[in-house]
Amino acid sequence: MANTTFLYFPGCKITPFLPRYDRATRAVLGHFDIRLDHTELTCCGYPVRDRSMAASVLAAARNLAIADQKGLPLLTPCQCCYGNLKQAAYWLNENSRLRRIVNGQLAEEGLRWRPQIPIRHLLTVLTEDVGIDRIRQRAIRPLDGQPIAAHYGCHALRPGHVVQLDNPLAPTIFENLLTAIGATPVDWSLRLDCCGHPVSERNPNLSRKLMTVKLEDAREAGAQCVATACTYCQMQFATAHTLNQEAGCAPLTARLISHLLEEALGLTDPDVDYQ
Amino acid sequence: MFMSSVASIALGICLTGILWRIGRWFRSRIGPERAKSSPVSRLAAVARALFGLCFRAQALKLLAAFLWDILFQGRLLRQSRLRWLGHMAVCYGFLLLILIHALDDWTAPYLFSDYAPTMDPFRWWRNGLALLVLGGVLGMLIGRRRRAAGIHTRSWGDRLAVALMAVIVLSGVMLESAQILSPTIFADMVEDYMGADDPAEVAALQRYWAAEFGAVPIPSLGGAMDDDTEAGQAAHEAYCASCHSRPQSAFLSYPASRLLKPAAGWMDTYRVDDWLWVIHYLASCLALAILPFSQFFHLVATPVNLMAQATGPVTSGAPVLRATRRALGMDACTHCGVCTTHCSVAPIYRVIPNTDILPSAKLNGVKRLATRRLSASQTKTLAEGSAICTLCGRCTRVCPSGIDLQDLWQASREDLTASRVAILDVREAFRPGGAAPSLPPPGLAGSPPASLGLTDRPEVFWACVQCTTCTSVCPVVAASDDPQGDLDLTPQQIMNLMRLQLKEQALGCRMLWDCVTCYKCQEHCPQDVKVADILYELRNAAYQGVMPPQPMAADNH
Amino acid sequence: MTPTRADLHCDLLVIGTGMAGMAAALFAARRGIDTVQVGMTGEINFASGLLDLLGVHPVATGQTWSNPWEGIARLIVDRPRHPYARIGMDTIKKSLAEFVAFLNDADLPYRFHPERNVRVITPVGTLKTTYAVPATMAAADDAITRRPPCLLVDFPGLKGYSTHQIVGALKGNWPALRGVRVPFPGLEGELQTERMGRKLETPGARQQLVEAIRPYLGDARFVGLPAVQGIARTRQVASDIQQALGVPVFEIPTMLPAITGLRLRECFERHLPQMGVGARYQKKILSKPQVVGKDFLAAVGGEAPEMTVQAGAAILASGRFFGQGLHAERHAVRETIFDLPVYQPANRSQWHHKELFDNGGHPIHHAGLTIDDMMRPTDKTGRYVYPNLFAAGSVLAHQDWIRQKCGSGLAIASAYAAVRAYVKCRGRTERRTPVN
Repeated sequence: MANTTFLYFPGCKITPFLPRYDRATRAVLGHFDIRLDHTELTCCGYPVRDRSMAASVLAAARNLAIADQKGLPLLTPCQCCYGNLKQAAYWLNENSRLRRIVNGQLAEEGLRWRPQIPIRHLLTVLTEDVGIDRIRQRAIRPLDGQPIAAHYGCHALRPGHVVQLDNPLAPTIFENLLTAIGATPVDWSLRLDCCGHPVSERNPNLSRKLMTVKLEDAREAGAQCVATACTYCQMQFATAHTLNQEAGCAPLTARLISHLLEEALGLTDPDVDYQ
Repeated sequence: MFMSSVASIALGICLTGILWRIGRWFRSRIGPERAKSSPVSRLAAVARALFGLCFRAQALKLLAAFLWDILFQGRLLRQSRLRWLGHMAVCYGFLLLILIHALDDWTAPYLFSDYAPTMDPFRWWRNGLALLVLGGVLGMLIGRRRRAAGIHTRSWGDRLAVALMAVIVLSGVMLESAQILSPTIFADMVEDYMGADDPAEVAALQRYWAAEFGAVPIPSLGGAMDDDTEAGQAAHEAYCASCHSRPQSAFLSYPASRLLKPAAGWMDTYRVDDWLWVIHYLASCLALAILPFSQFFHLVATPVNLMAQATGPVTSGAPVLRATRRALGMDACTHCGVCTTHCSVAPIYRVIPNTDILPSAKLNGVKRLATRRLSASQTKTLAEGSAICTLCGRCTRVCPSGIDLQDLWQASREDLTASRVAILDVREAFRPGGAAPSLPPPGLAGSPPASLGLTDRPEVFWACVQCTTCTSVCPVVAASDDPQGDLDLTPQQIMNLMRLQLKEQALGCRMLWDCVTCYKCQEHCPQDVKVADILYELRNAAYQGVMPPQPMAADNH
Repeated sequence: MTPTRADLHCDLLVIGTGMAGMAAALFAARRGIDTVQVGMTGEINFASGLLDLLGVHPVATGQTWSNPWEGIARLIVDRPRHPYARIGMDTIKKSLAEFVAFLNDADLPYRFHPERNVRVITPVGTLKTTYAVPATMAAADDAITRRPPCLLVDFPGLKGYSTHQIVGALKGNWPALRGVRVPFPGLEGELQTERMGRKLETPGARQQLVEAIRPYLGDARFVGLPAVQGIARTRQVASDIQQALGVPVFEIPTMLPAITGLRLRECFERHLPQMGVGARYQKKILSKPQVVGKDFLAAVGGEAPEMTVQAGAAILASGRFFGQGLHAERHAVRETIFDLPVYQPANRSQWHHKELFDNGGHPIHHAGLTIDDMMRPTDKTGRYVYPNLFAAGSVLAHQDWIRQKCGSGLAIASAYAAVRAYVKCRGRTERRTPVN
């Protein structure tokens, strides 16, 4: 059954670094009568997992417990947030000791984690709760067959049985969405690979290399731009824009799914350059 | 005479302190531009900028900031109506008390032709303002109590200043009560303003005052004659009424005096009213003197910071101005802890009890970092807090003092990395020649409280057949022309070490720290070995070895 | 957790995602049977892509068969308990035909000769006999037979694959065989087959490869490449390269980690759900399924139970020791899901012969599930344990697929027989649904 109200989990990075993604996502969801609850939430725990699993799971569990209290499914536009929330839920389900410790910590705030709290990413909400057909019908300004490379990223895709977004070896939801708004998804060999953002601070060279290799692959496959659905991925590809210009070749831009949808749904003025 | 010199000294200390702290704005160094300019050139740059402001449209922005942010405290109102109410009460209550009461000798005659402190409306204004201040302070204390624990930013100066504020107001109220009750003061006043001619008239006046105002309790006067009341009233109207309103209008002091009435005689004998006056006065002087050394310096710094912020974000200004603005911002902190209440990573404090995770405490640490007052271990703790911060910007949005915290966090991160306290040091510690910290033993109190325990159970690795699938799908391996050379170990080699329970040997390898956590290895493993989760756990273990979890501690600073 | 209420209902539950499980799900889907398939898709990654039917019988003498059907006929007579004997030649033929037809439709074409085995070259320079091969490997048989001038190509950095070794091993009988090493387009250092496969899916890389090889073609009438010509679009990649080179090209399977298994896995995982199979990959049966009425009720999940499935019948294609369908304990072999009786040597000391490379193989390899004529696991008396439980694949007893070189044939044929038996048991006539 399709949900119409979600607890909105924007994540830490979106407001300071990609506020437009936030606005566009809310506009698109609002266009389809999806209501969002904006209760203040805290970090999903993804960045701290390198230091402490316990901190990461507690951080995630707290948000899930709040969603539970409100009786709402949780929706996030960031794939790293989605992945970590799903991982935490998975391990809390499977490991009773972890569950006991975390619930003890949450009890100090009067919260409690329980299983079966739905965690959704923007892509699945669009394809399942809104529906591909509805999107296609309302796409009054389809994208004219523009060849676009759908970038799935990693953390929402794998491990498949934990995050349950789509088939981790051959996912299709992103391409289905792009087709519905009139774009032509291209088949590119590195579409399921990491954008490189997680090591951008620890090893900037490696991070840059992973990103560059991906963008070149997309270009070779004939794409005019890369579509993303994650705050971190988009932040990463945004750095490519400057690199590409330095190298002198036409920049292969990355655009967020919400912006593409806004354009196709006629929510923005196509003559204004939003890059 | 003595008192006024005390006051002058206090003022002197206050002004010196203010100048010293302002001076620190030009010496404190945070951010990538820090090494590039001397304090003098920074001062000159600020002077130039201020001068330039006078002639630009930005001056209007400053005016707007002054009216909205400073006078009306609009940021605070947006943040919380109740806090705004409390703060306005304290702020304006105290300000007006200073203006119309403490400085009444200078201000009142120009404003009111027939001013006397014991006249209404000043009497009940004074009491009203005192009530306002007391109410505001109480409200804010209650509000602070109800917010999240662990804010821990009060210093001795803060506590003393708040205590002094209470002492000042309470001693003032008590002073007025004592004065109402004091026969000695009555006698002095009679001598000064009435002449001591007619003892019967004085007695009538005294009885009138005792009866009408409950003041000047008389031990025993025998039976009073009826016409004494009329005589007393006549005397009062002739000599006293022009300066004295009914003391009942002192709605704080008067009820207090009723409570104290039984002890009035004793109080008079020991001239408690004089002592109270001294306490009141000295407390005020002390408060003035320690103002620059407590959070009350924000009275200077916060308005200046709010005005500075009105000109634009820190990074929008010239590089030479930035470090100064950052120092100014840090001094504008009132230690209110609202940032921590809304901090996105505050829940993590419950697991990693490092107060530097919380912005209110982290700010203190950054301040000390900027003035080179941090030890090596304190820097390490600050670096951890700084790294855990996700730069979500919420603290910045809610800060009532308008401090650009986001900019401070970003600027201090560079400093902390530059001082080589980063997670890469964790890797280095485990490489040959490194510090080789010992790992917490599994299963004991020292180990991570809620790890999955994958790396300590050999049966997790029995299924690994070294098929090298994990290595072959790893994008980090693929990105390297020489995986063995660049990464030291490939993923399946790390799994092999785990099979042999040689955890420590894996912790220094670059593969572990270059892992992008894409989970391809775990997805493709034919034997369901949780490769990526295991690599995460190894990093956790290495990290625990270098930054062992501390028990909950009070504020380090 | 004991399952009480079912989240998912189906007619047939296929347990296993190896060759037999995939085949069973395929045959069931093509017959319109409401099927759910669960399994940890792991070992299929190790597949070479070759489909063996029968290579060796009897194992003790090592006799090989150029016509596998003749070999199977002999086998059925000599080993009446071998699953092939239960299944019957006719069924084996049909099952292979249908399986390969699916692969052809799924753009992963296979080739076989009706009446004979073919050979492929291995990366160590031996010749392997098999039955059905991916189209990309089919030309090898011709080359091996005729032994014309032939160019083998390898790449620096690809471990476990050396034309120097292959040529050295075969040159005695094949003097016109030669090898060359060329750089792989766009990749350097240590090469990984998955990377190479995805790379060749881009036209630019294919062009570069062809241009690197062309100068060395000379009079070669065949070119042999490692099996890295794409993963999801193998047919197109191989056809492009062959066309550009102008001579038939054949692939040689690589050592692990190889993408040949990944090709099969991706193909099945993409198409089976599209054909209506309720695929629950990376999930397993967590505890012994209960019997509720006539149905099975199974708890399914990754680590912890996530859902319960209620099925009218089940096909157990859970694999042997590696696939964890059978578990070797200290003194006995156990079947891990239903705890069915396992045919096995009387005691532990009889599991293995003293010689590791004993010509006859080892008794433990014949252990497994015994079945009746309807492919249902039986107990010692020969009676089925569950009326609606069928078994297929390497979990079956009385076969030694490694030495007999009959693994894929066994898997596919037994899966076919199991599905057919299920249909018979239900009393339904076979229905063919059109496959897109």
